[in-house]
Amino acid sequence: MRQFLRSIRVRIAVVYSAIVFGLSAVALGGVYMALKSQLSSDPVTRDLLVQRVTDIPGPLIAVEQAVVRQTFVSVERLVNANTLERLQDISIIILVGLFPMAVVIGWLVAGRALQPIGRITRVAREIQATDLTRRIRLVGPDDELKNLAETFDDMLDRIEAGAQAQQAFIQETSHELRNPLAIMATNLDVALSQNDPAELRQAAGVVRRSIDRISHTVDDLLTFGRNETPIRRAITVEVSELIDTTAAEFKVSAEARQIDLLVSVPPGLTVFADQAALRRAFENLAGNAVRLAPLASTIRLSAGTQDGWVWLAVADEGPGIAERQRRLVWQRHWRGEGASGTSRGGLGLAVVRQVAEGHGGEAQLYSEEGIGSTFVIWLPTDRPPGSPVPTMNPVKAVP
Amino acid sequence: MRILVVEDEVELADAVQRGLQREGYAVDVAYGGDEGLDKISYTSYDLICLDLNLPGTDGREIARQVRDGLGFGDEPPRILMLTARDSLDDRVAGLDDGADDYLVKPFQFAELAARVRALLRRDAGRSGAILTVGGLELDAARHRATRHGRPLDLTAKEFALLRYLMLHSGQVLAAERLLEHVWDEHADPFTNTVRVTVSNLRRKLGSAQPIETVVGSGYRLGEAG
Repeated sequence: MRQFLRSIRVRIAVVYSAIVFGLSAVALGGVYMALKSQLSSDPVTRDLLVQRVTDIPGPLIAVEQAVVRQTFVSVERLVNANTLERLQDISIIILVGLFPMAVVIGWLVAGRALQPIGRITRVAREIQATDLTRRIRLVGPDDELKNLAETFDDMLDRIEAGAQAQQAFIQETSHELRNPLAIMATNLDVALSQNDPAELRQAAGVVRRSIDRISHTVDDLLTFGRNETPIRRAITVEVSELIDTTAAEFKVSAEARQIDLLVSVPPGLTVFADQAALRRAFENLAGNAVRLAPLASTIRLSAGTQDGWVWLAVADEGPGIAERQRRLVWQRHWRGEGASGTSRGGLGLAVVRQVAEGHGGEAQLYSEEGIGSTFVIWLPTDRPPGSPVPTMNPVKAVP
Repeated sequence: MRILVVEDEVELADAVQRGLQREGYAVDVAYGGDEGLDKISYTSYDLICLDLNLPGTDGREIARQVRDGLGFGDEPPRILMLTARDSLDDRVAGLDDGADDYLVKPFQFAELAARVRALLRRDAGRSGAILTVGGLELDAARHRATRHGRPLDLTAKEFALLRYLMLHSGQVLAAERLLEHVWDEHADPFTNTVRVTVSNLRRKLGSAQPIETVVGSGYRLGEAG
């Protein structure tokens, strides 16, 4: 009941009827008062001159004058008092009849005005209960409520798109975690069915590698999921040290594929950056290259400065990436196409881009099909504000 | 029974191959979609374990091509899709594209093996897990074969050969066909390995020989055995 009395519809109806009732009362009362004062103070009747002509014998007539007003006034008074009393009765009847009518009309009008809000509420409730594809789609005049409904619809569009993107992201990420899980499960199942120590050893090695892969994916997820800009934790980073550590880390896996890792960094090069994030980004680039470069090829890890930018680059001698693919490379879960098995895949390159952009820089790919690809992280140093990232591949410039 | 595993995760493909080989199948591996298509077009496979996400031609495209008649043998190969995607839409799309079954990663190898057995049984129009021809009984799941209740001690290859013969009992099977379905791509087509394995199997089956030689055509497993 309280809930009912608190609804806007009830409140509008009550206020509406009260206003109508009040205004009518004022109007009728005014009429009554005005009439009353007019009637009592200012009688309609003018003085009435009565002449009595008496025919007396002789040539003369006698004229007798008298004012008979008094009698008429008392008659008028009576009539006026009657009229006023009538008016009062009628007014009260009208007011009593008007009140329920005002309530009913107020109730109906409020209901009609609030009807779109009811629809908006209903749809909003259904949306949380069912799915995000529903829209309010209010029809009617182009008014405030239609405007509100359209704003809601726009908001739902954005929420739905966001939810879909998140769904896709979760799908892709679970895919990325499931593959190493499947590798572990199958290798263990197959190895455990046999009593062969050599095979168990081999399975253990596979499990080790899969765990590394999973933890790398989890690290990427955490880096990618952190919303703060990395620059907040920036310190002065020794670039040559960062690249040397990365090269050392991938030495073994590069040797396994007979890949030469060449490092060239000018001594003393530093950059103001979030060291952990930058290291992760560079490791992602180097790791991709070592995993995907052709057997017995060369990978160059290098860095340098150009036009107020510091760059860090990983160049491979792979098959290259087609022009139309180059933009897409930096998106989450991009997978290379073509028979070469280049599934760089995953969050890796998206993390690289996020780290570069978080530092106010950019991630770039320079590629020539058949010759190789160079992935570059550009970081701003003391460049003049607004200066664009150089478009040339910086590695070409190094002899 | 000859199986192709198309999977770009090398360590997964190799483990599946090893496991299925132990179940007595001849198993080839392709690490990419294009390599897979190549192998399908010149080898007669009974079943393909197909990853959905492949570099090159992807799994769904391969399934479509197989459905549309790509393949070498007289019967189209069955397709078991292996994938990390498990939404309903993905499953429906995979099955519509021509997959016969669908297994979500990570799976238990025992389940993969059971589904492979089921699909290959369906191929021969049988429903039971145990094959019976005359006095011969073969339990693929437990890897056991008996003749008149007497257990047979068979090598993996002999077991696979016996299973293939039992699945096609009554038919005359050429040595080349046996080589193609029971041995994998590493078998030398010019050896007498089929003849040797058949004669070993015959020796183990004992008297009242159920495997007859049809001169000039091949071998036949008779119901009488």
